[in-house]
Amino acid sequence: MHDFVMPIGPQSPAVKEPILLKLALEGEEVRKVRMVTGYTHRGVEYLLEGKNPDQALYVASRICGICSISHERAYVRTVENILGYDAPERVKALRTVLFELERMQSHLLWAGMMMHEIGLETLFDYFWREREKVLDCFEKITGGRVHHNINKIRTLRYDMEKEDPDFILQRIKEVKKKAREYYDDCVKEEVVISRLKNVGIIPKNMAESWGLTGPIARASGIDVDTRKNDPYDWYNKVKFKTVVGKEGDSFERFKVRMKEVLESASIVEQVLSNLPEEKIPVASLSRVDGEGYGRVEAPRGELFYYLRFKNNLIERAKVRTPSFSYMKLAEELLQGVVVGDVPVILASLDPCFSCLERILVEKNGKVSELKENEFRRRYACSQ
Amino acid sequence: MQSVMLFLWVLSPAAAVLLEGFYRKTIARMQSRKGPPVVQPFYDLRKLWNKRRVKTKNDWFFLISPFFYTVTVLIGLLIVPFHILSFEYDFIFLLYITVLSSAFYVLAGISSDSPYGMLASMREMRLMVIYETALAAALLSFVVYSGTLTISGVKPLSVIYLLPSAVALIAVIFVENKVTQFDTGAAESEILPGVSTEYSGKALFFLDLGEMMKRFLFLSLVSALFAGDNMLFFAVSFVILFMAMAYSDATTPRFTLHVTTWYVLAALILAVIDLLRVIWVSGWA
Repeated sequence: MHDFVMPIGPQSPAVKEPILLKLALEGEEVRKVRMVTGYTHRGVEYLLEGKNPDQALYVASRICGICSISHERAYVRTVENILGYDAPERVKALRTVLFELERMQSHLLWAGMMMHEIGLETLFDYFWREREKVLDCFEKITGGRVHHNINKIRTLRYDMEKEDPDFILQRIKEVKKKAREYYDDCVKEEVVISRLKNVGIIPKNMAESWGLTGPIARASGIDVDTRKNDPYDWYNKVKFKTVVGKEGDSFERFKVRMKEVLESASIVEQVLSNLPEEKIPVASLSRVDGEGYGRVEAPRGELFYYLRFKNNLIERAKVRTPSFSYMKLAEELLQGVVVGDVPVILASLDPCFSCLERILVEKNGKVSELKENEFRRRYACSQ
Repeated sequence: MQSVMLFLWVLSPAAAVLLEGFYRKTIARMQSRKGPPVVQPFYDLRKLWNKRRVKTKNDWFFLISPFFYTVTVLIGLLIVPFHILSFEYDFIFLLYITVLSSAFYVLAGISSDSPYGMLASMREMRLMVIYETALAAALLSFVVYSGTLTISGVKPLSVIYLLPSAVALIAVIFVENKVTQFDTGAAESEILPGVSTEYSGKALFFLDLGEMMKRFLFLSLVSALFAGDNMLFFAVSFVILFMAMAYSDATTPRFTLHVTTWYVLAALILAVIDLLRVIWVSGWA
């Protein structure tokens, strides 16, 4: 490491979740980067183990604060795959609505954050104001704004009220109008372009070799979308297009995410205008045995769950979050950039560290991995 | 008249703090927010005054730099807008004062021994070398054009003939007051609050007060140059510049240091060319 080391994090405006980046600087230029993680390791996979399917759902939904619906849905999809259960049409439709609303709020939150990083506080406020409208929709349907606990195995906790679709449609219309307006403003604004264009370029082959998914991969020109590749819920019934970019820089990622907001809005509109009228099943306790996996397209990319049940209890759980694949990529992207571009690149990746932290790597003379079992022995419950 | 001005000068820190309140309110309105009350900066400063100070370093400069930063700006306020100190070549004295205040600001960052403070100081220093020269050139253009040796003697509305210098001056005050677009020296998402990262209590009080007064000083200086001794023009120019600053702060993203440096350099070149033109026209050469 060089002499002048600037730490970013664990608490810093540049990173929204606890992570430590040690930047060795030469003047304004970053020469070497070291990433230290482990600040939000909560032993989630261990917490899932030993729980019955209905209990574990609540742990799964709390893995992430921004995409709790995705984690719920991935968990429920895995369990339903094991059960070989196909949910009624109305349940599927409502799950699609919730999923897309989540994508909208996540991308709007991200867009606001991105604008904050480049110092455009006004658009930060505006984007987050639009996000509030989406959160209002969530509150109307689920009663919660951040954590929803709406998905149950085989069904949903509540059905939607009669007046809810109109409320949501009206809100979505407003969000759509404003999002398009802000998008147009941003792509025309010279200073925004100068800050985002050609910053943090991920070429297509690099994205492929790192196994990227989600908006980042799509911005690099890879047409990958779990909603298309492995359709679930109503994704084979609604019309939407996968937004694929070309350049692979921060500006392209911004464009892809903003266009996805508009696509999501159109999916919500399509589903709500064709909502089937039927009663959803009442939630009941489940008995599950066996193993299976399930995947969904979370706002940040493909979210994968593997679960193995024994005697109706989870024996092993594995969660692979989209951020996992590009966590180390940041180290590579930050080499040789100026300090001013560091927050932009980090934000453009939209990493979710509390989702992804599974293993602690300790550097104590030599590098050693602290796996779940060891973590459990040292820090967590002494069972 | 002198005693009235002296009284106003004593009140000027309060005016600067009130201006900061209006500044925050204006930006909030532009962002469709309600914003804090206008007197909020007073509460902030009172809180800082009563806070315990945490010393991260026992360096002499670390202890005194914020205080001298504020004092130098306060001395600058004696010259503009109150003209209490008005003597031949006072514009050179003012230039010394502005450079000195910037130097204390840079020193405060370096002596705090924080990587963020140091990086902010490095950025500030790089820009300071350019913008202080640009300020000197632009100021000189106004003085030479008016054929005077004091700032109070600048002809009213000479700005019409000195547009390039005026543009350079505006660029300088935007950079000096860290208005967004040019606020790389205090880019929150990159280097936290920059120089003031390690400061707390009364030291932070002086740093913050100094920044507020600096905005007041530079707005007054440029308005005084634009308007001469005409009070109405002075007020109009002050308000327009104030609004322009708030508008830029609210609606534009931040440049990287590299781009900011080029903009300031452009301002310097503009100011120097205009100065040469003025010297040529006025027959000094």
